[in-house]
Amino acid sequence: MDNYMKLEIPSKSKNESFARVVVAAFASQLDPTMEEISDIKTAVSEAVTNSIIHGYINDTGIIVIEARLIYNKLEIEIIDYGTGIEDIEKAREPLYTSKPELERSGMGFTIIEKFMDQLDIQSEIGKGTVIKMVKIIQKNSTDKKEALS
Amino acid sequence: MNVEMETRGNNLMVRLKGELDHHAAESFRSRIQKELEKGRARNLVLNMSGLSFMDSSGIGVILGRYNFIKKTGGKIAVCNLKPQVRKVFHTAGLSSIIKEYGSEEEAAEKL
Repeated sequence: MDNYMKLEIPSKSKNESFARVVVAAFASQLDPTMEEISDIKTAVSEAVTNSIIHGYINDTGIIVIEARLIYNKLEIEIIDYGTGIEDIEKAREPLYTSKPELERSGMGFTIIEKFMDQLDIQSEIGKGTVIKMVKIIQKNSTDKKEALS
Repeated sequence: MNVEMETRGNNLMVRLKGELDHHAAESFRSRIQKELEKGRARNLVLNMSGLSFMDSSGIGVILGRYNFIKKTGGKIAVCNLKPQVRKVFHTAGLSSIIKEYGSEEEAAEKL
């Protein structure tokens, strides 16, 4: 493994910006484009926001952000120990939200899927959720195909 | 996030500066909603030239205002979206219901 980071933060919304910047700074070691950095920040923002709003709802809990750099691949895990997702497939549906009263757009996972190259969600009710996202930082598409295989 | 608001005729011009994420969304939502409920302006123009970041929380606030304004026959327009903001806007499908213009003036005129 080329490099690794781990960050633990309380589920406060003021930490959303901080989380975006930390992962972006870590990813900058791979010399990404501005768009790739924006994509990563957006995906981290969505995942961390999900942990705050859905994982911990009205409580405060710990969110762990881990990231790895392997060659030109960035792997991020956003972990919470909150309520968990009852139906992951439903949660991934565009526009679906379990909290319409909060004016949530229900586009969080859709945005992550569009902005990142891979999204994997593991969750257990009462235990928590792990959002795993991968971004290939690449200068040409053959690198990308190789790295994803 | 910083918000500047100005009523010009039938349009509420709102200038955003900073980042519109979940943290900023609630106060942004209540500020705009309060102003819209005064009923002075029918349309909403969001000038995003100063907006460096937006995620789906911003989409939620904008959609909520769209649904509110639609009831009174008003329209929303946005202008000067930065690349990241535009990408989120498109991915969320908002570009099919809210038009983007090149400037505040153009948006105000077209509305």
